[in-house]
Amino acid sequence: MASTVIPHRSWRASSGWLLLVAVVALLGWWIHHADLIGTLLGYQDQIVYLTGQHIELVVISGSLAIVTGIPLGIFLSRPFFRRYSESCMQLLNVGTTIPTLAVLALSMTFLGIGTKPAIFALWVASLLYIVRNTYSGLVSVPSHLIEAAVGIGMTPRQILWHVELPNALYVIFAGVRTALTINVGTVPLAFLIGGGGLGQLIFTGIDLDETGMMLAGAIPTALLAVVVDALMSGAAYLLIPRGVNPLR
Amino acid sequence: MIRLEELTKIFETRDGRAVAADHVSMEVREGEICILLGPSGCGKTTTLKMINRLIPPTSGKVFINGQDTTDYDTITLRRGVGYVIQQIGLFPNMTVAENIGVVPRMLGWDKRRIDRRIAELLEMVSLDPAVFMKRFPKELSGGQQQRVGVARALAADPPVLLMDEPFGAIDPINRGLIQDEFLKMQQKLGKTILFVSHDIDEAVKMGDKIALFSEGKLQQFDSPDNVLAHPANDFVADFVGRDRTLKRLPLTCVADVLETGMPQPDAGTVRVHVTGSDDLRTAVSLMFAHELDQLPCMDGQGRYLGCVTLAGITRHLGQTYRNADDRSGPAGGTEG
Repeated sequence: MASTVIPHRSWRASSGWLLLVAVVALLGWWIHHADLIGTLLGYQDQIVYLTGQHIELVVISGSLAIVTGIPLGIFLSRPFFRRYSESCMQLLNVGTTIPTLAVLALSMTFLGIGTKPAIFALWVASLLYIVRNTYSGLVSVPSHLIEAAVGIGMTPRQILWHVELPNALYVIFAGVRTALTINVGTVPLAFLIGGGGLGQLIFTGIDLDETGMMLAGAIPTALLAVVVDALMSGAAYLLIPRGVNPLR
Repeated sequence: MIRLEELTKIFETRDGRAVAADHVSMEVREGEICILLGPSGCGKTTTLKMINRLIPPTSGKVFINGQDTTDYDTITLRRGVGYVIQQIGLFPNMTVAENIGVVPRMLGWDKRRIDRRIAELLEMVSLDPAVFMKRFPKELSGGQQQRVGVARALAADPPVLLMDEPFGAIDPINRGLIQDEFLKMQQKLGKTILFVSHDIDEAVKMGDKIALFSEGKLQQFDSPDNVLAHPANDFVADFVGRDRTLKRLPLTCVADVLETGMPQPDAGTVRVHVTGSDDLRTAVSLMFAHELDQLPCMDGQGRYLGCVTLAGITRHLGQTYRNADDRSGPAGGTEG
């Protein structure tokens, strides 16, 4: 078992790294060619400050999405709610088809401008992935596990905590990972309603036709997304019990 | 002791009422294995699941050791009754040790007692605790998984064990092995066991009693030998098959039909022998293979004990039909 999984994983990991190195090298060459390092260094203070703001938006809206999305997914998967849960999922699906920009605009109309409507819109954008994966992870726990758990006298709460959630954890994690990565990439839009973040450099750069400024926003955003993704995959590797973790 | 009293389950379906179990009454004595046998959809599994209320009965009662089980709340009842299913249902997120310790933990045993119990149970199901405790279910073979499944059901030492086709998903060779081990274990443990099966051979091998179901009704409840020798009705006769008398062979061992007065056959012509603990199926098989109508029986030291003869076996198997003359007649006859 292990001998078939490990090479596969290391192959994937190494090809990923290879790609990253190539991209970085290419970028490096281009940056050097365009003599952008100096320009970027000029924005250093703004980059640090706005990256902080960016991370803050991701952390707040992401945490909110996790603490609301997972319970909502659990709720939808409970037997007493199964009859309606598919319709609810459809409703959420429709919710995500609304472009984030539209959600931002809409939330601005009743929350004003600033951080609050930005966090709300980002929360909406992240929620579905977490709810959907929590729900489908829980309903796909094999029914014989539930039968065994019920048969040996576990209470519904014990079944949820000790059987259902641990066995759905990998799928739930995947949902959180997708949600956060998308969240990082969506935050720049928050600048449009005064929410701050690296979008400020990107959009201002575009408006002023200053490629350097735009890249000073875009590159950290891209790196942030990669870092968040890597962190989440590391967390999944470490936090999911070995028995139900396909990674190890 | 388990007693079922007029246990009935009616499912309300879209096409009307479906009677899954129809006034089932029976009593399994302490320390006995009772096999609930029958084709799929006959009500055997429904009956089993009504005992730990995985399926709530429509009417009727279940008594365990004389106590009406409706006196307990469902959770307490289930923690006091071992349950093994065909799909095994080990929790993949827990190690072997954690799986076995689930019920003791819920019952609030202290950790050292749980650890001792886990090691003891693994030894009992012939798995080395040092090797297997820390493993996850995915790292075990099917047979090993079901051994752990049995250990988990036995963890809190429940007096009653419910087993729903426990060895059905295991390959035939390992199934035979695990059945033998289980019987050996049961000799020491003396649990009262209800065991669902659809396999007449498994039922004859494992059961002290067989409860044969069809269409929700208990058709016959008797010892394996009586079910095979005296089927109560056409359904039972059909289910146990026309070769049912042959299926009685494994139920008797050579020692029971040994003719000690016979002289030892010439060792030059008869090269095979049986021991007292071999069953008649083995003896007859050897006779057929070597064109013999009698076999010498030897003990462990190679001393001659007596002979087992085809005539003696026939006489033994036929006895029950002669005794049943006042019943409706020999059921092992030509019908079926």
